Amino acid sequence: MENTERFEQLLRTSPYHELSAEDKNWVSQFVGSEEEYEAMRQATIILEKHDAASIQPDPAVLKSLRKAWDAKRSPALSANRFGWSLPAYAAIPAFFLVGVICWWIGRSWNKDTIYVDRMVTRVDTIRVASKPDTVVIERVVYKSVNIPSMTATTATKQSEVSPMVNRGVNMKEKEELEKLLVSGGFKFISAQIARWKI
Amino acid sequence: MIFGKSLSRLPDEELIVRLQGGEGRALEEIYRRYSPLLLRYFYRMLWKDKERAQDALHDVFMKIIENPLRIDPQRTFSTWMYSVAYNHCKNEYRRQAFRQSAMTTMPTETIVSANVEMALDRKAFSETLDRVLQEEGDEARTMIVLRYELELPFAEIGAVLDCPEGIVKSRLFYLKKRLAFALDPYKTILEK
Repeated sequence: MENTERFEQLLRTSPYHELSAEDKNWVSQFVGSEEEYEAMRQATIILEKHDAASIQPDPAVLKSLRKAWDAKRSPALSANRFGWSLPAYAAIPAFFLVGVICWWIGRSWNKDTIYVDRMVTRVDTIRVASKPDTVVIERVVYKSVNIPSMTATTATKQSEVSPMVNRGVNMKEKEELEKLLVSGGFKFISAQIARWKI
Repeated sequence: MIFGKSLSRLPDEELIVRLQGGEGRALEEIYRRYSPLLLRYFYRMLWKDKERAQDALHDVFMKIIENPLRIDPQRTFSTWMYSVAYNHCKNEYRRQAFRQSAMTTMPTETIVSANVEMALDRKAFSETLDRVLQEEGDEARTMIVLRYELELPFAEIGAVLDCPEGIVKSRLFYLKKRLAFALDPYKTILEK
């Protein structure tokens, strides 16, 4: 034991008057007197016993640390989750059971498999037809048309009358024309006829 | 058990390897081993404030959770852990100093009184002792707590504080002498 440790040990355990002569002689290299030794002894005891608090870690601290650990580890697959230990008597049946389940699942998947002996190629005729989707119906459409009267006499009306030129002369007009021919006014009528013909 | 054995029997180093491999139970085992010691350390170092000590304990373990690979395999785990705890306390002292400078409170009495009436009061004695330890500085208080509260060997205290073992021994020896002198007026209480 080194000097300092030995001196501390003596301070802790023995008051000055209980020290042997040899120890008293030895401690004199550290302290000058009995009073000083006793004072240092008291100080050591005080430091060891002073406010020996009965404080215990708060369970909330551990809880919070667990949460923080889980939050830190959750993104990755934690090794801890697989770090549990399993006794041998449970491990062997567990492995066997897992094997049986895997075999059974594999077997049930293969049930609907169709086995093919040989491939045969057959040629068929296929008619491709497309249905018409547009229907055309012809029908007569009657439409009323306004025909202007024949009383226009001035040249300025000519352009309005002109669309009538190509439609011919009906019976009523012809009758009126003949009446006019009988009653004179030949020049005017001739001009009218000439215009119609155009 | 063929896949694992009880974690409580494993050494710290093995637990660290498992923790770094992502095994949450290793963290819980480390917590079970070290949380009472660390809590006592923080309680003593952080003004005997229980809430603050619990927070500090939480923070230190959060550092481990956030990055388990930061644990230095070259040092023993307990040394590494107490170093982290010591640095955490230093940060707390800085924050506290900043808070105190921002507040306009009256300065506290730091003189060790030899008043005889006070000596009869155990509470006053306890406060005096705290003041004396406070005056010794953070590093000295850390040494005291690590040595007398957590009973760490001198060599490990030196490793935690990153200073030679001889210096730890010598500082603790003289610190005790000063403490003995400061507490001399309270002899009557001590004898009781």
